[in-house]
Amino acid sequence: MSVHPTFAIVGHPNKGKSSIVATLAEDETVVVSPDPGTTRHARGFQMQSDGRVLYELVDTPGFQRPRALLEWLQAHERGASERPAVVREFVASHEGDARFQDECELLRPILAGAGILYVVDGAHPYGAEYEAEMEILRWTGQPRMALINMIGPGDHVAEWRRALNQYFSIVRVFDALRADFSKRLELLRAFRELAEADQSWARSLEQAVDILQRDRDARQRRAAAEIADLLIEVLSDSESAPCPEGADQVQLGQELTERLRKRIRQREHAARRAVQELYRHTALRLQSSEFELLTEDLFSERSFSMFGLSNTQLSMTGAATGALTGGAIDAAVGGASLLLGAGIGAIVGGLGAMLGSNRLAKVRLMGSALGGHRLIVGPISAVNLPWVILGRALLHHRLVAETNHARRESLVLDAGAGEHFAGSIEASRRRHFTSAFQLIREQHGLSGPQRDDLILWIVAAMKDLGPRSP
Amino acid sequence: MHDARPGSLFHEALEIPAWLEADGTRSLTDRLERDRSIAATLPGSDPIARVRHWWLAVRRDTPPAAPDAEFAANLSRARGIITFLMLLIGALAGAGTAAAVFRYDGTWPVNVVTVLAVLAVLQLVLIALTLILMLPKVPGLGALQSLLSGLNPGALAAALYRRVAGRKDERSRLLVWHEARGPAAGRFARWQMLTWSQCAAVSFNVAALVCALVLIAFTDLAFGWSTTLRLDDADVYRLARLLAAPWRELWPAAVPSAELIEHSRFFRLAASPPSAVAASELTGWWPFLLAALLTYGLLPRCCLLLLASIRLRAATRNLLLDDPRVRALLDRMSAADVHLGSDVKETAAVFPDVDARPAPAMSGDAAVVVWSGALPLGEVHRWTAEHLRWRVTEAMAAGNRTIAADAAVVERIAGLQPEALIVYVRGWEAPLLDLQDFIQALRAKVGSQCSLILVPVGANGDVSSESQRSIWSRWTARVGDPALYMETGA
Repeated sequence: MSVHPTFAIVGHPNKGKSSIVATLAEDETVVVSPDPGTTRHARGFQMQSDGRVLYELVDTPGFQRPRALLEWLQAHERGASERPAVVREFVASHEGDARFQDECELLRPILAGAGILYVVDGAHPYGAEYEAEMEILRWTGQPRMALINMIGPGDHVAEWRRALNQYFSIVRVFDALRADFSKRLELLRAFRELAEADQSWARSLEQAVDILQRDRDARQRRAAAEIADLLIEVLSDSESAPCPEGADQVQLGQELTERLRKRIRQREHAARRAVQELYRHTALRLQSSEFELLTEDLFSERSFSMFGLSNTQLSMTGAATGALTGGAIDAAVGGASLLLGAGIGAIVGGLGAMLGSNRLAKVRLMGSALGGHRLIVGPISAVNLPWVILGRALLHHRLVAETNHARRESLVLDAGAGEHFAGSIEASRRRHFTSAFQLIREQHGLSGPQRDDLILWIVAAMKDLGPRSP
Repeated sequence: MHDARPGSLFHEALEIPAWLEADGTRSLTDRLERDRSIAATLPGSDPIARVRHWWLAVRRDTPPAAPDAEFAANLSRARGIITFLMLLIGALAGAGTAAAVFRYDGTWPVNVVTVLAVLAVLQLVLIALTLILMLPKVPGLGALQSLLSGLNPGALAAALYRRVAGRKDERSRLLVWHEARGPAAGRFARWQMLTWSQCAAVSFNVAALVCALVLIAFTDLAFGWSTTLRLDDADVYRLARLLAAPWRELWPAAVPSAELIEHSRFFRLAASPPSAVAASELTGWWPFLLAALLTYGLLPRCCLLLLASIRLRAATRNLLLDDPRVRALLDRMSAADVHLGSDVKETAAVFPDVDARPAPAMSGDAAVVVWSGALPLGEVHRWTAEHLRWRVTEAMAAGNRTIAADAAVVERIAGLQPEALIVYVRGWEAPLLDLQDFIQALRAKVGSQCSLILVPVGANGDVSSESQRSIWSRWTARVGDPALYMETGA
């Protein structure tokens, strides 16, 4: 066996071998093509940590002439114990033979000690012509697992299982295009079963699962930091311009508001790019036809109704936050206020949120100590806007984090998003967000520890809102 | 070579985030790799030290963009200039004030009450106001703090600088408290303002002290005390002893005696200044005044300057560390080294996007081969009649068993001499070279005139889907046989 766990992904052309590699290696650059024979050479994809290889997947070309190969092997058979040696002789004697280039490419890593992951398509019927391929793999004597990939809506899994069970010790269904992170870890754990004969392989795979899980958590925290910084920047941002004597303040105010809107849109776009990069999805596009919710203009009414809080949720959250502040006063006076602080806080908070301005930002004319005036638009005062931004960012994150790297089409939003997406955040957490939004507005930002708290709440909200159940 | 001295922390707090902003266009993978490898060479865990060492390493390869470096240098310089101006203004004001309060023209003596009021009491009031400014934001004190900061010489100097420099860059707001955005910037601007004002205050006191010493040493000053308030000698004695309490043990000579107080009182309503007989006693006040100036002017200001400098240093650290780009950098520096992917370049085949041609004729007799069980043989006649207009003369299966069995099928077809041969294939399967071998073997036997027509069939005997047809069409064209066609039956 190889020094580190190595698995050759083999099978018929166009059964999703490259998709499985792209998913497991999180590499969106792997060419996934409908044309058979696109993969010409075996290509290793390693997972390394601190310079140590924990496992390697080898993407291989598909079988092109399996019957001819098997006939050659059978013609040279010298008994069951010599079968791997006969396979080796085949590869050695066909080096440079264009007819068997693909077969040699796919057998070479197996002969070097790789475990076998044989990929079939469970959405289409089983065919006897696969038996030659499975028989060849059996001849190699290497540990083998069959992966039933699902390319299309059909279901022939049972039929495939019956056939595969005769050739493979482990058979798993793995939908390369839809597998989320937990499914990928599940598959890696299954690799461990395949490698149980070699304890060092099993240990490496256990470490790989552990490291990938921690890496995933770190990515989620980094994505939350991106969203936190987006909220901080947007809520503390403002636009200003000199306002000379006699200038049209209304006109200037509108221009500044439009500039502010544009900057917020650009900032949201930048945050999305950063989140996609964290999950190695730089090439992913949110095309408007398929993904209209996230491409919906941030400031549109639809965005507000889809992503923000409803009026009731806004009032309840405002009231709860107000009650919390008032309660602190009650506590400070040792309860002598008979909970008046909490009551008044709740009323003020609730009414404030309900009647809060829907205007994007306040417009102020400020005089300078050293002369002259400036018209200032901002910071953002629209009560629901941070919730809309948060809701959109959380949904975007969920889709990016769940999308695997074999997908080549745009993200598609499922209908489960529903209305008032931010309203799905747990009520107690919404109060923390309201306080944070208030602090950002007051302080024009957050201190380091306050930002860290906001990141933690966003991580918690990410967990509230996903992943979707299969 | 980069200057990593502690004094340049402010410069770096401006330069590093700007550099990181531009660096954001590089791929995250590259940045992770670079930052992690630099971090691996760094000792210690102090985040500031790590960031500054990282900066030292990284800027060797990629120096900061000229405008950013220039801006940071200019703002650092402006900060230095303002500090110098505050020292100068303080010194001039101190010397001027001392010269004014110690003014003696040989007639009326220098009034000790005036000197104390200006150089001790007034300073104590200003120190109290400074302490209010130093407090964190307290509800109820906000308006007073805001007013005081507006009057603070440090704030005025910064506002004047911004006005004169006319900088549009957000970062130039760092020097102006009310314009600084965010807690870190606000804290920095506040302590910067207080540091400047304390620089001016220390300079004021040093200059006042030096000026007083010079006047005492090189001129013959006379001191007395005079006040409209109804204070008698005993009151003033008690007050003087109270003021001298901090140095009474250390410098007894700087505590005025009851006799001195009694003899040095003067009234301007008197016909003439105090007599010359008392002149030697009248000069006895100066140690007390110098000690008061040191204790109530210079010493607290030095303490405040020290405190403001320490807080400014902490605020400058926060300015750097609270920046989201710097925090992201620290995160990258400590990120686990996880690498997924291939070091081998992809060498995928690229095929021309050419489709197969349809069969030139669609009627007549045709032999049929069902490849790999694409259709049950019993279904061939019905399927062909339903989807194609050929009449089936004979149907055979191939691609299922051995290559020798396929060769026998080829021989049998050659014997039939068909004008056309239909090959049904499984549309959902990828075409293999195995099939190509069979087609080429057929062609060799049936001659170039025979039309070979590939028909991909869908699962369950349906016609194939559009995507399946597209794959088969391109493959058929790639085989390069001029009489090999593709039909779909759709």
